Amino acid sequence: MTNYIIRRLVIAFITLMLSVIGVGLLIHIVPGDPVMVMLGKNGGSATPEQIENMRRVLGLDKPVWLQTLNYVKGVLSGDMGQSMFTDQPVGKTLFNVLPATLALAFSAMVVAVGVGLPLGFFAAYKHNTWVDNILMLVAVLGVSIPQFWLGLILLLFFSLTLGWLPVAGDDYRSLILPAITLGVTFSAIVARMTRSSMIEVFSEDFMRTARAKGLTETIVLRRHALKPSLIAVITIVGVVFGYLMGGAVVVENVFSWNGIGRLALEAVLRRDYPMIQGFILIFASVIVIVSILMDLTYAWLDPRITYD
Amino acid sequence: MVDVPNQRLTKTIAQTGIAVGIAVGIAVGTVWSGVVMAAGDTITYARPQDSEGLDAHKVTTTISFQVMQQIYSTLLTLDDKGKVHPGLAESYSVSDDGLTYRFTIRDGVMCHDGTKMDAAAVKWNLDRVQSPDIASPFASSYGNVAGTTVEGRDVVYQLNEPFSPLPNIFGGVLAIMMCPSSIQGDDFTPVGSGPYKFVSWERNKQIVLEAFDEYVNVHPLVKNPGAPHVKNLIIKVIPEGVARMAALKTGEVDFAEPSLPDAADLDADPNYKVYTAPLSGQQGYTGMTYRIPPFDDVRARRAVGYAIDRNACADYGFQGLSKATHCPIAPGLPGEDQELCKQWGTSYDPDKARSLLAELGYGPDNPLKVAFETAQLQGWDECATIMQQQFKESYIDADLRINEWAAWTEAAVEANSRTSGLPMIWNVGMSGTDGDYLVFLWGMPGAQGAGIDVPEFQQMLVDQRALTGEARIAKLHEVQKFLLEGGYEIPLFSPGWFWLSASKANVDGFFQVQVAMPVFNDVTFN
Repeated sequence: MTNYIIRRLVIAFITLMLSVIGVGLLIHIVPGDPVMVMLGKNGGSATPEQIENMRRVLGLDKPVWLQTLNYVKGVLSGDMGQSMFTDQPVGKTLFNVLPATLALAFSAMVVAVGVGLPLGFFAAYKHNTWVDNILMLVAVLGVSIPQFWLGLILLLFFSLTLGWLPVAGDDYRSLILPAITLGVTFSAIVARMTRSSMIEVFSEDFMRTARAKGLTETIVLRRHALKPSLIAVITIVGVVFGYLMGGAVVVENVFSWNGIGRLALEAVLRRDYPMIQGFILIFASVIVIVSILMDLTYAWLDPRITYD
Repeated sequence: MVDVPNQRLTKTIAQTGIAVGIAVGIAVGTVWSGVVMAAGDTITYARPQDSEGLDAHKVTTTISFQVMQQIYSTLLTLDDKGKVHPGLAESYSVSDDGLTYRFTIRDGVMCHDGTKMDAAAVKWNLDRVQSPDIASPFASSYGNVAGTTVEGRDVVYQLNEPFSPLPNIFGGVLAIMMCPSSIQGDDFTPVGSGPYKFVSWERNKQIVLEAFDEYVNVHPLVKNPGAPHVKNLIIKVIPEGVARMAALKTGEVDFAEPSLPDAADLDADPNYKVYTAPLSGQQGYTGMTYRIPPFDDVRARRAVGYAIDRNACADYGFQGLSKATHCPIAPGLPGEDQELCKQWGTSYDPDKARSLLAELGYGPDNPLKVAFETAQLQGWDECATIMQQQFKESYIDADLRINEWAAWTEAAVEANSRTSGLPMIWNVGMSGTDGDYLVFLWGMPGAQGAGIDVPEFQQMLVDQRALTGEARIAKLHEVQKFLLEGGYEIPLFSPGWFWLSASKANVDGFFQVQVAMPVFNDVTFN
């Protein structure tokens, strides 16, 4: 197991570095010059010499490969650079708001799994009945609803019409609507994935054997169906967590939730290269860590799975 | 299918639901709570974006200036006619050759941290803007500077070339004076001598300011002689327009920047007030790649002008909240004269547009194909869509591309570097406190490389900087006449970005000064 963990960590490190290098190179292909953005509409009448000086100060006068190499060197020494627009250290800025995004992603995950799992389980249990059909229709609708639209509808209803929840803020009440918006959409995905895997589990020989032994249905479901299905759930959680982190960009904007997604969106619009690279690094790190944790959980849940 | 009592399954699902509820509670309970301030003591202003920074020598956007205007002071101030009044400087004089400005700094002006805002502090600002290490985008906005010295309470500002727009520029936010104590080593904390002092900033969330008790007002448009009436000012970021309106209607915020449709609705509702920044100094306009045929021919450029109905843009694209304009210089700035500009420029006349294009060989079977770039801002995309239809009437086939600012500038720079290929028409805006910004737009190399390399015109731009009073106004008219008759610039509307504000009707005393800067000093709640 130790060897496996070390191997995974090495691969994770390589993955992260490749992400940073890839983004560092690709970002320059996207049209838009940070210096021109900085000059803005109200910008002074900067001369070509002054523009060149701004490029020098920001390090943009160097070839792209050298800029990327310098960034990687900085990351390896714990320095993620400074934002071109705010002059603030990228690492500090991103880590300040990362807990807010993680809180949102985790809360949404609880909603997604909490709603999706029982629905998927129930649909599988009532496989090929009208209950199954209705639940899956609801799941399709859930997947199809744009988060942006759902978020605004919830906001108008619960904040403006009923006045129960604040429009914007950073306390726990402000987290409820974004968590539901993000979670409900993904609960549909969870429901569909759970249903598929549970249908397989229900048709396994060991389920038939358990029932043949005369066990009550509750025990059959709890002892024999639940544990194998947890493997599938863990997989779903891993996949969905990545989606949730990505989906946070839209939802954070709708609900003014001050997370990493909003920072990333602004950084992209301004072509704030160090901030974009920092976001990718942190985002990729979270996904990689979650992925490793998922793999380790498999082994814990199913003794047949070994990694040596 | 296995038959199982539904009650049991329902119970299991219910248990799961309860567990989910508890888990959500635990999750959300870990999130911190915000600052709560007493209502009435606090103005909360919601905007779609956060400021990029508060270092006045580095950031250029309206949205950043709107906060800096509250914290810092300007050397001079401007009234509603654009006339220069005292600011930090109680008076100023200019030498006969226009090369030496002497600003006498008011005695006893204090910074928020108790340090002095004196002549040395003003010199520190002027020097820092010119420092190559800062790479300030304003380095050439303050003229061709030879040096700054301090003589008692006087700051002596020496130029290499005359620069008569200087007082107007020093009267606006492009020349904000920070207190030197803002910079401590590598750390920056905004310290100014303005009406509000900086308290805290959570990026992308809110900036908290507090009234500066020792503030003494000299701004000609502000009535309140001392500190602002309302103690706290919170400038909050709510990116989504619907959410901002919901926050205004629920009373969560006192002011909000509305979307255009919301602003039109609020304007018609007696429970709300809408503010439209009459002194915005903003000017939206159409330009084109005049080095690429057929726009190297004045007939093609003026045809574009005749094809555009700027009133439709203002009335429908901007819901009537912006006004159609005819001058390259924004309303209210020295040198602007709408009647003269109307005579020199083009007004909507599709027949004339078609006839001019026909002379160049374009018609219904051979429309003029162009790229049409506009920045993505509320009102601008709608206006561009209207223009695209108007172009069609005049046999101009415009491929409309609505881009965010970064991509827009890149496309414009690329098109302006060419002398052949697909010509481009673009919509963009400029703002300032003096018409000298035409040098930034059309001097060489010009904004996004659009400078007009006609020596006589470039000389006009230089000459207006050496003139004062009526002679300068006449020269600015000459500059605008050249731009309009040559069809280089087609003025569209004013204002056009970050200029709208709305509040509930119980708010009094709010207004906006030049470049759409909000002023909260006089605000009271009924």
